[in-house]
Amino acid sequence: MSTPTATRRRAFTWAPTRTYVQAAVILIWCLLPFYWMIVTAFRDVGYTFDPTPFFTHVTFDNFATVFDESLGNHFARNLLNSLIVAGLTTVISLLVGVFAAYALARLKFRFKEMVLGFVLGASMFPGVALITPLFQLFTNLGWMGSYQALIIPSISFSLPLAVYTLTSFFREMPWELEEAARIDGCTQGQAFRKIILPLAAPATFTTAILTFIGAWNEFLIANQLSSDATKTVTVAIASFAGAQPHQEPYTAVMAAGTVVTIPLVILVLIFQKKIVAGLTAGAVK
Amino acid sequence: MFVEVLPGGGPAASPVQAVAGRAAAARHPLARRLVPYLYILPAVVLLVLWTYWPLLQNVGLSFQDWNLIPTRPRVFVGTEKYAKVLSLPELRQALMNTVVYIGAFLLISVALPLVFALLSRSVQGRARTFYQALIFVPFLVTPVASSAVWRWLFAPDSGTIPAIAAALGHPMGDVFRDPDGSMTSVIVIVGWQMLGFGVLVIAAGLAGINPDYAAAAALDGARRRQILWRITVPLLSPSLVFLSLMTILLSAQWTYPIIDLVTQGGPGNSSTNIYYLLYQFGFRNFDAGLSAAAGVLFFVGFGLVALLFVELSERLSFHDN
Repeated sequence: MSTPTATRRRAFTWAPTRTYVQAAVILIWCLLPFYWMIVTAFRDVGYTFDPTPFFTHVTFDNFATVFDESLGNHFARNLLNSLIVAGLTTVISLLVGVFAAYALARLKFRFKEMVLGFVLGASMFPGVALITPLFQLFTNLGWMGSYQALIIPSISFSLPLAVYTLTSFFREMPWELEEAARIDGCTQGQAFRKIILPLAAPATFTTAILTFIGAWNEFLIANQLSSDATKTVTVAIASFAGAQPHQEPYTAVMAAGTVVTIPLVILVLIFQKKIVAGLTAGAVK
Repeated sequence: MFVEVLPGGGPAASPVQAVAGRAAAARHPLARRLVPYLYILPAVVLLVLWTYWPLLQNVGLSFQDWNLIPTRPRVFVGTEKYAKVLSLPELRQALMNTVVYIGAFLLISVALPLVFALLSRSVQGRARTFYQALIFVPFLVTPVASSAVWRWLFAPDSGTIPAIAAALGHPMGDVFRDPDGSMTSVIVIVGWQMLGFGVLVIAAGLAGINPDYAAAAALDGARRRQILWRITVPLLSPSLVFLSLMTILLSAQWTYPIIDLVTQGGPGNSSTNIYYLLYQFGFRNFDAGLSAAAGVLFFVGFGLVALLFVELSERLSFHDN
């Protein structure tokens, strides 16, 4: 944002300092609990409540506990399950969502408002209330304990949000290019593939990351509909067995939380520019 | 929000296409009219099968008495369950709490990020990229893990926050067991997680605003406050509307694990909300009918609120076209 210097003159000397102090305060608030999580994850279980604010009594034992099968933890399997469920949820929601959002944002057809209401309406229904009928349905189909029993409800939740987000993005894109392509003789399908898809990539990517984060962190559906074989990380962490019985396994839970969160943090750090570009291209012009 | 960008609408209506759409015109006109429906078909089919069909079944369930055990019979009981839901003493509290929760989250994930994003607008370049990525971190921590972190931070006797409070001369007990503190603690935890998302969306929105408008206004003698309220905020309205709707829709998903793992809605329902109440009806009390009836009522009520919201936002949104 470049504001003309005329309006800035008064604040010239101290404004940057103030800005950075404010930014630092915000960052500390956002990062302190996260930092505590990591410090505790690396701390000996005997020093769980040690208030020292930096790394002390460092150990990898908590991570060993997380993956210790003799304690009944199957964290590697849980991670794989989460990856399968969140990955497929994201791929299917995006694949289906991109087409729907393109039509909603760009094409003219009857009942458009109704379709939009229909899609958004699906996310108004609380997931909790969806679980009982789905539980019945999956039991009848013999799907309990399968991946689709987790992926399908997850899609029910993420698809409306993906369509909504993508539609908002697509409405703000430079569609003149599509018309230009059509003048040059492209069909609607070709224009979509060759012009629109590359243009829509950042926004689509952003939606994909948000969908993935949501599905990866999902707890309610997985907690009710997963079996031992399909248990995802969130369910596993909630029912974690620590190294010492009769004590809440804070250090192991934080180690598990670190293992689950770090890949997402790395993902976001790598693609941060793309995400912001996607958001800027879209809802938020 | 969803305002047509071009007055003439999409390509189907544009004169360009009527003249130059060679390939399309060669095909059957009916086939061409069907194209948009083909695009939306997969999404609609998925939602019909896995959301609306269960929803209908849920309506059926709401008129029955059933304890969730497949072998047990289901008895038709008419509107008894609806009457029971509406007369539940917890319902009023849960509804009020839901309103407070959503209000608080709108403040934390829309209003506060607006202030933060405006304040940190002059952080530029690499620092900005880094700053935005870091502020987004709490959003990435799985709620199951963050609930453990906050329980640890607030643990009575040994947690860091009670220790600091005691050192400052304000000893505190277990906030999660305190009727006056439990809801606030859930708001703090969920708010901590949602804040970064809001900042990111609004910062991106700010970056997308053409600085020429503010420059022109400044030349015309507008003050910073005027530029903020008359230009920046109206141009940000699509972002704000997007965030508000996302907040309302996501608040259910975000509060559920925190309430379940931190306060279990207690003490005495002080921190419960409508979603958690539903969950307790269905799974703790083994009463599928009651849970279904509550779900249907909830859908109707929430749907109306959302429709109203979409309608309002269509009018309030200002588009920079």
